[in-house]
Amino acid sequence: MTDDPLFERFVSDRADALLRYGYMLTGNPHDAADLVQEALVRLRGSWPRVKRKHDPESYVRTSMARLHIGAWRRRQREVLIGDPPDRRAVEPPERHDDELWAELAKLPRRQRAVIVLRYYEDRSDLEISAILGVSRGTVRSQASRALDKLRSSVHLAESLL
Amino acid sequence: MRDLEDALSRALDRQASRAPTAAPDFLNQVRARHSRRRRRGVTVAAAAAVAVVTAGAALATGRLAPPDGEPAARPTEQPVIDPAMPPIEKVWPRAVHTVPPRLPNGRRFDPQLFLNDHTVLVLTRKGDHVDRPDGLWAYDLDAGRAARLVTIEAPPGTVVTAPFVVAGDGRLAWWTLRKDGSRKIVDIWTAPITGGPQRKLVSFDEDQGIDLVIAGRKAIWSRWKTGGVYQMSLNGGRSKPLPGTTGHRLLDWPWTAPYLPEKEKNVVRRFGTAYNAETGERREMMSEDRGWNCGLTWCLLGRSAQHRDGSAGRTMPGRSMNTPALDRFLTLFQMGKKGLSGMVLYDLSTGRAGDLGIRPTRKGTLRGEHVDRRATVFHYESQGKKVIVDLASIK
Repeated sequence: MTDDPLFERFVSDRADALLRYGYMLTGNPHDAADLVQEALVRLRGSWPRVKRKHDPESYVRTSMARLHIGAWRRRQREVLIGDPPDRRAVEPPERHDDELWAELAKLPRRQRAVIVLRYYEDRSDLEISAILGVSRGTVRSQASRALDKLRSSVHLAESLL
Repeated sequence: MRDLEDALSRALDRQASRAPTAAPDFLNQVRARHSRRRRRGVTVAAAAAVAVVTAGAALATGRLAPPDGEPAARPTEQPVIDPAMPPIEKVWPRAVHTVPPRLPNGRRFDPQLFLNDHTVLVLTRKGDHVDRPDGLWAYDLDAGRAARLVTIEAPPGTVVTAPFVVAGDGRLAWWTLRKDGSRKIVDIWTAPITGGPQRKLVSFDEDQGIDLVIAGRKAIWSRWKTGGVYQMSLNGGRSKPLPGTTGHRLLDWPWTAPYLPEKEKNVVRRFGTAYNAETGERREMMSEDRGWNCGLTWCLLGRSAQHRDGSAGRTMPGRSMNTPALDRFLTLFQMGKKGLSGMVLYDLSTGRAGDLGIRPTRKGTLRGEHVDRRATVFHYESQGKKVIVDLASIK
């Protein structure tokens, strides 16, 4: 069996963007890389079907979100990651970025996924419900619970004043 | 309510810039994991058979046919092995300087640019804090002496500092970004290139930072947050936006280009159609393929490089991660038999490459060294020495 060049092309082209998405979902680079690999391995398994019928990017993103909130468990880390390019030029995080990031890490996975999809990916609640395979009501209640938790964090409230 | 949501959106965008990037052998890792998965599937299906095989198990399982009739283990993969390159100091002997990691006065330093063929302008920082620059020095590499040119004071509240000091028209210039209540303000500073006090040229509101050059007695900069290129006389006056550069960043002055965040789907990475702000000339991107990372002349994707118009295609001796500096220099990751093997500095215009002498740790990880696309020098530390490469001097 030879590798499908289209699959390889897809991975080479989209790895960095997927890693960013994985980083948003998981909050740390190692889990991000692991999650992306896991989703890509599954995509590889269904590649002949997916490339005919679906947009592979949205397939793999959906699969990442579901793996992350679902049965996927942290595996042994086996993943090498590169350094962020142009490290000196990365956009400067603000002081409360780190606090928000820390608060996000405390959210249950499903709530965090909703927040990331809504505020990082700019998805509508309808899209989020399709991606996560839950009802729109669940998306709304998860989002509002997550926002409440974030808002009630003392540090955060102070730093946003 | 809105405040929190806005803050979230901004914080997540900024955090994204801290996300990991794919290691050079990422695709191989996915392949390996995929084939392990397939083999495991086979093993489970044929558990009884495997149980009686001890020695030579790998051979035996290799012959078992998985349910879909494909061979269990794929034929041995042919991983790319990049050609070994001579050491960097052999390739560019006059441009490469190896010095101790500290100045003669014991301070750590970062090279900024070469003042002449043996004197490099270096920056020192208070407590080595990235946003507390405190001095610019002329470091004579032949004589091993460093003399202070400028005492720098970053204003209180400084949270971002220019990655590089720039020079032109007898002046040095750099910028800092400070927080003042809820405002964020960029200050541009200048000092005489021969030494003297720092002076503030201009201040303006900007959330993130700028790219800055000096050209034709003017300071010219582009804004990170919104894009847009501005200019101002080094003697003062008002800053003016340059027509036709809305949303652009400096690429290689006078060339500017729209910076394309990867978050937008279906776009080519980094820089779009390049625009010459002096002549109005434009350079389009060659293809609609996603993923190419285009500088002014070259577009890069993995080991491939070609001009924006698709010509001059070539394979590079390693995988690229960044946009070239001076439109030609970049660092490449190299792969060997056992994975990552090292890094080279590569010159797109001549095809020459020099090995940095950096080797992976026992775990196979490698600290990446990147040429900043805005820089005219490249420097890194290796085996207790600082290696400084005067890129601008390479013919």
